[in-house]
This record gives sequence, structure tokens and C-alpha cells, in this order.
Amino acid sequence: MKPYRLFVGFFLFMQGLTLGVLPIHAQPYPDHPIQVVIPGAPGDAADIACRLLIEELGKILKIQLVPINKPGGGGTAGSDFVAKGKKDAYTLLYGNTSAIIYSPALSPESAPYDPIRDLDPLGLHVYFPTVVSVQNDAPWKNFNGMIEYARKTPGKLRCGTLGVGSITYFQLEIVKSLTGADMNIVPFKGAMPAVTALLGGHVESACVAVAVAEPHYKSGKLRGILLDQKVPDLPNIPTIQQLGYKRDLPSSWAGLFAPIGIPDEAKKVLIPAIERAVKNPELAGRLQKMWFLSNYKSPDELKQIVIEDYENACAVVKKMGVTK
Amino acid sequence: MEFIHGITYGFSVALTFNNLLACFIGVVIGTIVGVLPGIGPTGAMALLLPVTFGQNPATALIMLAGIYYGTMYGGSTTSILLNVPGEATSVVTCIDGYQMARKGRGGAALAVAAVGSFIAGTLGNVALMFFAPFLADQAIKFGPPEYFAVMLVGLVLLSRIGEESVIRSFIMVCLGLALGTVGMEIASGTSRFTFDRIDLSKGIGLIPVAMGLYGISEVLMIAEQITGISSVIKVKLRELFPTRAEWRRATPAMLRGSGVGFGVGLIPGPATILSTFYSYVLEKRLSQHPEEFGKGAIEGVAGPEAANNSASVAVMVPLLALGIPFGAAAAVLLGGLMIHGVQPGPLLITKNPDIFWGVVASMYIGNVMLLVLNLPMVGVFTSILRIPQHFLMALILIFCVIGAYSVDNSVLDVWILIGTGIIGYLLRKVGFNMAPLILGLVLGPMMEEKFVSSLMMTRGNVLELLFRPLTASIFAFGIVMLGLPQLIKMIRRKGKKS
Repeated sequence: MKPYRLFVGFFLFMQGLTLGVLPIHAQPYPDHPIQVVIPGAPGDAADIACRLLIEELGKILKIQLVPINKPGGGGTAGSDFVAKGKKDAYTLLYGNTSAIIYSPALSPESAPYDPIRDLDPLGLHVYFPTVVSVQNDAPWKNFNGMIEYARKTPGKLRCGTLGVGSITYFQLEIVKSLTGADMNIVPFKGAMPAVTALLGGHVESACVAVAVAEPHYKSGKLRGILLDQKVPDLPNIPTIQQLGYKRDLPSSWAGLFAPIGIPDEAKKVLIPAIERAVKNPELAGRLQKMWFLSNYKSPDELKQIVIEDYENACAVVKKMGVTK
Repeated sequence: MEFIHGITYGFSVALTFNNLLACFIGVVIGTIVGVLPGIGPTGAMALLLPVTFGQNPATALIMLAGIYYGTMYGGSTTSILLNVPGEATSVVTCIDGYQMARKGRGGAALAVAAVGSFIAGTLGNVALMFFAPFLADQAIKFGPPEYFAVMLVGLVLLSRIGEESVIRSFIMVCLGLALGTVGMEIASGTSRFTFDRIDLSKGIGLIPVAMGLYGISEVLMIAEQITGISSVIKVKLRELFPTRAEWRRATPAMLRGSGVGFGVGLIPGPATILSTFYSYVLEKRLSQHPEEFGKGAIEGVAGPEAANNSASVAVMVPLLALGIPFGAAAAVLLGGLMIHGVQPGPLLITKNPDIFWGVVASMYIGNVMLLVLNLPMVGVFTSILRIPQHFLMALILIFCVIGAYSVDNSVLDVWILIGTGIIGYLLRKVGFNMAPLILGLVLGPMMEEKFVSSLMMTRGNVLELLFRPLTASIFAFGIVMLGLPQLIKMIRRKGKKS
């Protein structure tokens, strides 16, 4: 019986030790790895931007941030997971516009969370500029030229996008309503098929992220004719406001969010750390080479952006009669 | 002879210590990932992206590419030995590979798979080296209507895989197509059959279904038969390697598989999976012993395993030559390139020759490494079969569950695994073959996506689609292939008469 008693005694002793560690001196946040949910597949723009950001954020917080991909539903699967998950600030969301704005606006039944009330913005990270491109030897020299053609031949000008629910689809709908041109919007599953189709001449134009289209500008196969926001290294391509139209196109962005109700002390640590990470010049430079524009916005500014973008998106949806 | 320049430069890049190490790590991880059911090359590459951050781009791509084609080697192991497809690309290998293992020829099957993969990988690499830009230019001539045509023709031609009865394959294909409709639809954003569950909106995943239909159903079938503690299958060393007769049959299959695989691999979408289906059907058509297929024909292992390797090389063609990834794994590779500041695109070969030629050279080296790693391991792997069945089945269950969860971190996938396992078991008891279902599930969503894109391109004018020259020729090819067996029979009959 002796060894048995020894064992039990040792076991109880260890239990006693661990009890002492508990709430009496709680560890400062964060004390164990943080999960960051990416509502998209590996290799997506948001995935790449997020992984680079959390690498930097991990150095600042001195703890590991683990990316977890939860693709599905245009970003709703991952977002819902975080919104309904634990509120201990160890599960965060790297939300992009599809997950936070466009999927909930377009199909509210697929997004059982409220992007404004259930998610707490911690800071905006990057903008993903999109561009409308045509083949380099196309007859239209610029955007106005293409719109002229579209006005004259309704339904014949085809423009590839990333599918209904994506920001490029919304942007094109707004372009259609601003210019009155009847373009034929062709959905593809992803930016790559859209660009491939443009390269092969199966569509006349395509609206995708700059990152995807730009390499073909360098090789001379494609030309960009409209940007949704000013991009520093592409001064020759205008935005729609520069061409004289009243509204600007909505932009695609991504930032960090937490479920509403995480402890304040966690926010006090996270928000400044995120600001430092986003503003880090080396990280920003790397992202810029991939055409991701780092542009820090504070939690309050981000909240405003979410509210505005969401209202605008719902308005477009109603106007276009796109919801079923 | 710029190829000589290029490839010698490539070897000078690939043979540095750093790059050799990266290649080795990549292929080892790839093999392990391939053996483990569930997590596939895409997930593994995404997980290991951060590891490559400190490296230069060529090294990073060498490692990531190593993971990718390494999984094509490893995936066959569990398919052959346990009827659990390690990857979606190894589903077809289960059909004959597992039967060979039950007959005691498991080692032979593994060896043939390894050698076939090596030959295919090397040959594919040669084609990549010489023809990359040309092939890539041809590839973009395929628009959505052409892809739709290719997939439709594929669906019709391949659905008879492994099954004699047309009606039964048809039912299974339709079941697969039906399963493929679950999820969010591309053109209107409507959610179909999702019962308001978010986790169903991405659809029913292929990997949990494949693991369930093959692996879990096999576990259930064996569980039926185990009455007590079962005996252990003893495997003799001599039986580990294929006989000369087997090599003679397998070698042409490997070569054909390489060719078919590379061709199919150039098409976007689930190229690696489709290549295995095409190869299997081709082998069955051309074989002297077609009745053996489904019961352990070695060509049914050699062809598909070669095909998936050369398809994985073919996927690199549009990626490196045009900067366009034709599949999820290629997209992660592209992401990796971009993170390292490399501009993928048509200029990659000329602006970053170290990356292109370095990767090409390292793929030769990697294939050799994999052959050296896998062949001796055949003995080790077959000793898995020595584990008593009741333990083995429990282990398989655990691995499948973990694997299914690891795909997308979703518990739903585990339920799908279990559900399809039970369904697969019931279907098998009644004598249905699972492969057409997998085909339907793989091709259905993509076909629909391409069809919708095509129709939107022509504003609903179907005839305009059919009369595109490339599309029409693909359909014509399909009709000819469909009618060919009958035609051959008629000609033979005429020949016998005279």
C-alpha cells in the first residue's frame, strides 16, 4: 500500500500547488496564444494580409497569434463563429468587407449575426484596391471610351467579377447606375478565373483586385482603366470621382474585430498594439508591394465605416432588387 | 540552346545546401500529409507559409512545391493498405490498390505507386521545362464554355468507372451531383439546402465524403465480420515487390498515366482528382484483362498514381508561365510568391529565372528523394497490416475523424464523415460503387459555375455557346468516345464475318 499512498499524497500536493495559482494573481492579457479567425480560404487576399499582420502583432504582444481559416458563406461562417464565440478576447476575427458588409446585406438569412451590434471593431488594417481592366489592344483608350461603347451596345460589354455578394459586383452595379451603361456582369468564382477569361478574350473587361490584374499590365497584355481608390504607384488610372461622377465606389478593406463584450483590459492592450503593427513601415511596405494599402483607422472610425458601408450596401441591394 | 543554360542555372540554384534542405523538408512533410487522411496539400502549404518567411523566394517555393507533389506520393499509402483515401486524389487508387493488398500484393501496389509517381513527376517536369509558355498560352484559350464542355464530357465518359451497370453508375453520379448542389449558389447568392446553417453554406466537402464512403464504410464492413480477435496477416519480404510480370503490365500504364495526367492537369479545377479518373478508365479500356479491374489489377494503381503526379506538375504550368493558379493549391503557391515580393505573371520566367529554373530543377531532385524515401518504406508501411484488425479499425476511425475536422476546422465535416460512412456501408451492401458519386460531387459544382458564367456571357443564348469552335470540338470528341466501343465492336464483327 505504501507506493499507492505516496502517489496519492504527491497528487494532492500538486493539486494544492495549482490551486494557489488561480484567480489570486491573474496573468496579464494576453497570457496564452490568441486565435485569429480568417473568414476565407488560404491564399486569399485577406488570408495573406492577415498572416503578415499577425506575425508583426505577435512580436508586439510577445505571444503567438494563430490563424485559423474558416471559409464559407462569403465570410459568414468565420464571422458567426467569432461573434457567437467566447468573449475572453482570445478569439478574434480578421474581418473583410465581404464578411462584415456585403454578405449580410445581400443575404441576411445566411448571416445570423449583426455586423454592427455583435462585432466590436479593434482597428482597420488594409484596403484592397480593385481595378477595372481591359485587354491592351482593346479599342477603348479609357473608361469613358468603354462606357460610350456600352451605352451604344446595351448588354454586349461583358465585365467579369467575383460573383454576387462580392464587392466587385456591388461596384459594377453602382457604375452601371451612375453611367447608365448596360453592362453584362458575368460572375466568376474568384479573381483568377475572371482574369483568365479576360486574357483569353472571353469577356471584354474584368473588375478584380489590383494585385491580381497588375502583373499583366507589366507584361503588356492588359490595361487598367478605373480604380476604386487612389493607388500611389498607379497614377495614370483615374477613380470614378476624378472622372466627374458624384459618388465614389465603395472599397474593400479588412481589419480586426472582436465579439462585443470582451474585457476592457484586453482592449486596452490590443488596440494600441494593433495600431503599432498596422503602422509598422516595413510591414506596410511589404503589403504595398502586393497592392494592399495599409491605412490604420481607429476603432471609432472603423465603426463609422462599418455603419456607413452597411447602410450603403443595403440601399444598393434594395435599389437593384437583388435580394430574393 | 537556352534550355541547357536554363536548366544548368536551375541546378546551380537547387543544389545549394539551403535549397536541398528545403526540398527535403518539403517532400517529407508532403508525404506525411499525404498519408494522413484529411489535411491536404492546400492546408499544409498554408500552415507552413510562415516558416518560409525568412527565406528567399526560390527556397520558399521549392519547399512549398515539394509539399504539393509530395502529397501525391503519400496519398496512395493509406488508400492501398486501408481503403482510406489520404487525399481526394487517391480515391481511385483505393479501388484496385486495396484489393491488391487483401490478396497480399500490397507491397507490390505501393512500389508500383511510388515508381509510377516518380516517372510521371519526372516526365511532367520535362514537359514543364520545354513547353511551359506555349502550353500556358493554349490554356487560356479555354473559356468558361470550354471548361463546361470538358467537364460534361468527362462526367459522361467517366461515370462508368468500375461499374458494369449503367443504371447504377447513373444513380450514384446523380447522387453526387445532388450533394454538390448544397451551398451558396454563385450567380444569385442563394443558399440551397443549407437549412439555415452557416456551416453548410460552403457546401459538402469532398474530403470528408471520400473518407466516409471509402474508409468508414470499410471499417463498418470489417466490423461486421470480426467475431473475435482476428488473426494477423503475415507479409513475407519476398512478396513486397512486384513480380516481373507485374512490372511488365504496370510500366505502360505508368507512361500512359503520365501523359493523361499532364493533359488533364492543364485544365483548371480539380485537375489532379480528374486525372486519376481518366487514367483508370483509359487503363480499363485498353487492358487485356478488363475483368480484373475492381479486383486488384495493377494497372488500376499504376496509371492513376502516375496521373496525379504529372497532373500536379501540370498545375504549375499556368502558375509559373502566366501567374494564374488553376486550383486551390496553386493559389496558395501564388500567395506564397506574393508574400515574398515576387510578381507572378507572364514575366516570371524572364525576370526571376532563379525561381522558375530553380523550382524545375528542384522538382527533379525532389522526385528522386521521394522515390528513395518511399520505396524502402514499403516494408514499413505494409507492416501496418500486421496490426490486429480491431485495433486497426479503431485507429482508422480516429484518424478519419481528426482528418475530417482538420480540413476546415468544422465539426460539421465530422458529421458528414460519419453520415456518408453509414450511407456508404449501406450502399456497398447493396452492391453500388462509390466512385461515380465522388465524380458527381467533384464535377457538379464546377460544371454549374462554368455553365452559369457561360450563359451570362452570352446572355442566355445556349446555341451561341455550342457553336464556339473549341467547345464544339470538345463535344464532338465526347460523342466519338462514347460511340467508339460500339463502333469497334461492329468493325470486329464485320472482320470476323469476312
